[in-house]
Amino acid sequence: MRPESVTWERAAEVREAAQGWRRVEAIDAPTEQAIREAYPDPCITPSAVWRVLTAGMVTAVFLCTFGALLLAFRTDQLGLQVLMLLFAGASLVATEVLEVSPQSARRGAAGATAFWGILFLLVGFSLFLLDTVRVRYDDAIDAVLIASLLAWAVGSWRWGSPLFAVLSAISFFLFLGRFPYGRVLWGLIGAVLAGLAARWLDEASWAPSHRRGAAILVVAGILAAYAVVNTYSFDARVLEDLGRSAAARVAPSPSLFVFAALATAVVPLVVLMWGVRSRRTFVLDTGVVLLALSLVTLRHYVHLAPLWVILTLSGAALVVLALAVERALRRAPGGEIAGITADPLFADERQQRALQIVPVVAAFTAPAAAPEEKGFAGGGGRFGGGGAEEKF
Amino acid sequence: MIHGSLGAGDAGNLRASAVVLGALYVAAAALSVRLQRKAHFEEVFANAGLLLLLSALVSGVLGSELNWGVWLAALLVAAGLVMWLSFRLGRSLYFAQGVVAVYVGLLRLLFAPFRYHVTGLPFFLAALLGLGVLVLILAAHRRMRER
Repeated sequence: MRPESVTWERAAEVREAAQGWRRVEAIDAPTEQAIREAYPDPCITPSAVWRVLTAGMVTAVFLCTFGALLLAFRTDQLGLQVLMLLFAGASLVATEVLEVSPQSARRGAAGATAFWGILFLLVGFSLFLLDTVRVRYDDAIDAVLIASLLAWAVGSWRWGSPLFAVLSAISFFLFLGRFPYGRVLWGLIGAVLAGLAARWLDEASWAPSHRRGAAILVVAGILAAYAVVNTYSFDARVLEDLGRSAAARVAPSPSLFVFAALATAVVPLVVLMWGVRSRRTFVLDTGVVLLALSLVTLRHYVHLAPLWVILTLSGAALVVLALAVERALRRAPGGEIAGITADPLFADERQQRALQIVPVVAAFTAPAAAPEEKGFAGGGGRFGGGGAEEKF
Repeated sequence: MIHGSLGAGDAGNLRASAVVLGALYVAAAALSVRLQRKAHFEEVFANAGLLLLLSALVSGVLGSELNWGVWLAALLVAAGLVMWLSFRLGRSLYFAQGVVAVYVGLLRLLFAPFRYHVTGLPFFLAALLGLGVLVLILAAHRRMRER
């Protein structure tokens, strides 16, 4: 990332945190103002709705322009590749130009141009391998996965996009799955990746978006390790199907199957424990998702009830568990048990509200309101005597 | 379950139901605020209502063979009203739904004359329209006071 972009991002993080501290009255207004003056952020940062809308319209303009030129020139295969690579180059240049200006860096347009630039680069490269160089299909897939891994990783490092980190991690594991012992590689490298990336989660020298990228790699590593041991994945040979068509297939032994069943139950619990011990909500969330997947896997092999009943009951159980934990925390001495409280985090509520839109509309329930602080509320009183009367 | 809930496949009936239900939800949102009864449900009612209403109108524009012009006129009026009101109320999500609906609806108008010709012109016009919408988005964001 450009040094200016890192500085803007750090300032935005501090200002956002200060806003959260002010919201829960941890600091007063002058202190917040002092923080804002100490960390000036020249960028215009619209809400998520505006950013998504802008990115969507930039996408429409980009794709329509590409379609117009494609039909206007009626190109052959080589022309299509050249046009795609030209569009990729133009998009990447546009991204750099947009990223330089604080007026446009965070409006969503730069993210859209970067995404389409890299995607067109990869599609153009794929067409070049298949149609021009005429590489074997399996070799082309390997080459494109390596290119995808590198391109998204460089894009993530350069522009700090978490989405690119996700796409890079997906490309990486798909590439590993191409090897004969892909399952073993997924397990080993997934565990190593999660462990290594976890060390960089609080690295002060990294930009905040790079630290978010590290969090994504932690989640990707955990998911990969879980995919290795999940019983259904073992049974349906999901990872083996990623490999080259010529790869040999060996049926899993019964003892391995039992090990997978045990691991399917244990891994989510281990992840949940890690989340509780490390106080990281994204690890806890990952553990909850894995637990749900394990329940679905259990339902696949042990037909207790229809899937929708299992999912509904699991969701209801989770809600009850969350309510019970919150009540226990609120009633505990000092509102804290082993360093964990039910108090709201100083998180950005705008992001939370944006995320609430979909489930709220789907479920038709009102958005959760922030709990009111039970501070002192003077109800007024009277004193006086001998005809004197005063109110305060 | 979703297949069953969408009825026997009559798009016209489904569209009409979505328009009526969407309008009812939008009316419920307005009334909840005006009467101060469950006003915190306003966003839920309004978003659900606008999704239904605008999706039905867009579906009419894109799915109808004969009277898509009527659907387009209705869409432009409804979405224009939504954008104007949401701009005044400072509701960015309602505004965004109106903008997307208008853009998708106008695409039919751009592509319809070139239905039997393979040409890049409608794509070029769609890109120009997209640029216009981008300018509108930037201007609206600058002036809207979000709540």
